[in-house]
Amino acid sequence: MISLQNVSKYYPAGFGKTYVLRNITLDINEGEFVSIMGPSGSGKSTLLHILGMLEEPSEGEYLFFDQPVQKLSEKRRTELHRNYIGFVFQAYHLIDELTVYENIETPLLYKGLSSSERKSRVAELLDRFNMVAKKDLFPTQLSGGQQQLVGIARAVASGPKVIFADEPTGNLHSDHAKEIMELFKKLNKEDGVTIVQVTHSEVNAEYGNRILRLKDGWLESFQVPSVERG
Amino acid sequence: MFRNYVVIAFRNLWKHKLFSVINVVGLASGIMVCLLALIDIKGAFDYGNFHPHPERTYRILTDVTGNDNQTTAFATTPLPLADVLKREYGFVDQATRVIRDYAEFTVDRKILQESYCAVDPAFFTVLGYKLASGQPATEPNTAVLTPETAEKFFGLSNPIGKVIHHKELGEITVTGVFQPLPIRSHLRFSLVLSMSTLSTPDRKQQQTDWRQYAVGYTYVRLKEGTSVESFEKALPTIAARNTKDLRFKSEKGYTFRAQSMTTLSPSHEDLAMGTWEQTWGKLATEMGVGLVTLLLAVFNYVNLTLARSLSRAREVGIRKVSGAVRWQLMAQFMAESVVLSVLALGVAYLLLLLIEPMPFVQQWLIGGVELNGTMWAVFVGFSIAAGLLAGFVPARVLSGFRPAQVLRSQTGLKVFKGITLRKSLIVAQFSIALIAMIALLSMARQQNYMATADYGFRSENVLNIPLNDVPYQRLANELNRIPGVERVSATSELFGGHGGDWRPVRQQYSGGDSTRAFVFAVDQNFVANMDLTLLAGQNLPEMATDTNGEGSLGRFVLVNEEAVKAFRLGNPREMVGKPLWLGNTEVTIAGVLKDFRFTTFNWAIKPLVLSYQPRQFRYVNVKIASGAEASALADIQRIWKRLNPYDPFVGQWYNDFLYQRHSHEDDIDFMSLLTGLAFSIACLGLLGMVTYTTETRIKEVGIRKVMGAEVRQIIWLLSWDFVKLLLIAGAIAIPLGYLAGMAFLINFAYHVSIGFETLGGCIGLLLGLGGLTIGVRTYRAALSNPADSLRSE
Repeated sequence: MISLQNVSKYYPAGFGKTYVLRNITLDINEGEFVSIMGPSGSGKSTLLHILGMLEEPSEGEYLFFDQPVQKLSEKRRTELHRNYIGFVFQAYHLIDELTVYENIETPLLYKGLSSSERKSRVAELLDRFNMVAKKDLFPTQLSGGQQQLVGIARAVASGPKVIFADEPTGNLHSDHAKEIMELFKKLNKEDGVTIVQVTHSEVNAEYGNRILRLKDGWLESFQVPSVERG
Repeated sequence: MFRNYVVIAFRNLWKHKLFSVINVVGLASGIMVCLLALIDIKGAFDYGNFHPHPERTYRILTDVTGNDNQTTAFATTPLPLADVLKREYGFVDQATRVIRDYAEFTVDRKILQESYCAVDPAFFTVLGYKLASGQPATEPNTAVLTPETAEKFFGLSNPIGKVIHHKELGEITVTGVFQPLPIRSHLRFSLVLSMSTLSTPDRKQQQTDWRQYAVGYTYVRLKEGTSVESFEKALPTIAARNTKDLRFKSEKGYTFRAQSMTTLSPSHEDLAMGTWEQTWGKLATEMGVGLVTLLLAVFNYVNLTLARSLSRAREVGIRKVSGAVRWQLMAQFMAESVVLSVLALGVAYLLLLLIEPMPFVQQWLIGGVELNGTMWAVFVGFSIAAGLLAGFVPARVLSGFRPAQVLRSQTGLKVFKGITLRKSLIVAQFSIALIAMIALLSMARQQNYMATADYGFRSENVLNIPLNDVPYQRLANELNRIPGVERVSATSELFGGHGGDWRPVRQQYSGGDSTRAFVFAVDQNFVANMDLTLLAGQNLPEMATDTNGEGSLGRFVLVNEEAVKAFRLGNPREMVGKPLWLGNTEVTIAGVLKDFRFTTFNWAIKPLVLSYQPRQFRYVNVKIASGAEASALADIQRIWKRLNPYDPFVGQWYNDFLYQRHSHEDDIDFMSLLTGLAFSIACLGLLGMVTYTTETRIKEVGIRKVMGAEVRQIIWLLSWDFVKLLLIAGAIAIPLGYLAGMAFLINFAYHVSIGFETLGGCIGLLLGLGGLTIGVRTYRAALSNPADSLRSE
């Protein structure tokens, strides 16, 4: 489903260039739950952004469902965002001016669903995430964990094939974090949604079935099991 | 989707109240000025509407080619044209001539200066001025009055059948009264006379003279179904046929063309002898002023939206990863600006109602225009367009954010777009406001100067009383008996207006050495009363010894230095005793007066001749001893009442006359309003900018305070960037404002200078207001507790 071939990312700096990612080659299959780990500045978020098509690699090739992403038009890429990809952020990134209901509805609007389709889809999600009572509240009236629930509901609203989560529990207490991770696991198992998360926490990383470690832009270990350090 | 846009727009406006208020107020001011212009443009199209068949009614214009091959279009035609058209061309249904003039009419001892139109009988059917009562004026010496004139002449009594007098035309009988004239009418008059009333020899001569093309207007209504082409073709033929044997003095010839009543107003060209129709130039100027004001407000919107881009950037990122494409985001942002400007339209209408009673607005802009559904549709369309205009640039910038940049992290996000643009817009706003202010202040100072300046004649403690038909000598005798009255004199016109009788004065009875001079009729007390200085010779002699019979022109005159120069007679002393010809009368120069300014300051001092001509006296000037003003005035009013029981006393102090004549407070009021709007829009915008910019620097302020910065230093740090912009605006606006002010002042021979006080005052106000705006915000930011601003990070 996702295949990177020798992908690098660098920024011009002075006369040379600063590499953020070097020569990454990796494959992610449909139905996997992948955790990306690494110290600050190792390029985790950049890798996630490239996978999520928010940034373009400087070198190398990216195939998404066997389509070369570099050659896609802006329009086609938006199309992929609408139908295949969902995002979850550390800072939740809900739109403060919109209610819970409207935040979840937003991707459906852009997908062009009819009003009745949107209504039933949002209702279904609210129900599933136990947020029916909060649907008319604004994000600032919710706790962090609740906000992230809304963020996940929004991400899955359009029925994506893959969810990219950038430290989804980074701002949460451990109880809430556990809840969220369980939710991801459930989505992965029951709905077959592929999940790629960036995380600092070994505990959270264990929820996935594969861990990628980044250091200074290099993909450190590919096949090495996560228990290596112990 | 659309509903969603509007909902978000309202929530955003509600959440950011400062932003919304600044923009609604600014846009409302701009839109309000545009509404005035739009209403006036609508009104300009009403001018032809009330005439019965505007589509086949025409006014004939004369294109006159001068000896210099320049063609000038006249709204008038030679008077015989109407007759030829009616007699010889079958497709002409009716034709009427209209002569416009002013005259003094006397009714029941009241002398009133009124504008009139002399017309053919067809006037009442071709043009749409309807009668309320009575009959059209078709017979010789008949007239129809407007309701206002009727009331002025005859009060509330029925005017029909009553008689008004004219000193040359004789007695004129009123046959009818018009309905109130439409305000949007290209002809304006107090009364209409039948053409046959104008029976003086020179009027008679004009009626057959093809050379005089500037006397009257010709209106023609064609028969139904006539092709306009045949009519338009006929006109040059008539001109050619009738000018064949004519000899012109300074023209090569002329030709005619037709102007449809439907296109009469707004007119594309400036016509000589034009009437009251609107010109595109005037309308374009108004719309231009409106659009500039609106643009200032649009600048605010652009500026503040961009300054707030930080908070909107994240939203853009989220929406983009949710699958929004750029045009959807632009549509959302433009929807916000459109909602804002439609709200502003509502406020603009309220503002309009507020300023509607202003005399300037009524007289020049919106008087007599009815707002209908179409107009409202235009207003709404206009404000939507304004919203789209305001929203376009910010929408483009905001929708261009890349999600990877704005979503990357929660903190440390620096999104500053269009900083140069924002600074330029602030500079532009303040420059425009400042230029307007300098120009306005120059105008106001000039008017004040003209209203209060020393003209060189006495205006202190002099009371002017219009004589009407009270015999001068009798009134003077009575006035002289009042204690406190020092001297009484008479004059035909008041100094400080547009002069008196501007006519040729010759040195010899026949010969080409004539020059034009203002001729005033005065008596011998006038020189002393006005405190004029004789350079040579002596004053006009005593009345009794200087008359060629009762009331006719005296034998001696006074002239001013300028007249001496104009006649090239050497020095004033040599001039005394020389003869002059005023019309057919020979007079002798008795004395030469030192130059003084006797007209408005538009003109330099012109040649002046003061002659003794009691019949022309229209005012008495009463010099009253200082201190005795109140008691003398009461006595004068009492005497006036006795001599002239039917007219109210309308005497006026000379200083008051000069003040009223020259200070156009209504105009200045309106222009002050515009300038004030421009300034407040600019200041509000600055307030918003300072607020948002300061918010983003609050952490920096905290750090600096922790490091020991004083409040004073912080204020300066935060303010300097904006103060710099104000200074740049000042540097741009001073030369341009100076030019704008001079462009106005250049019309006056005597004018104030735009010196340090005007420029300095304006700059001072700019810096004061701008500085206050900046200071309020930066002071608050500088006082903030660093613990609060640093903790959250």
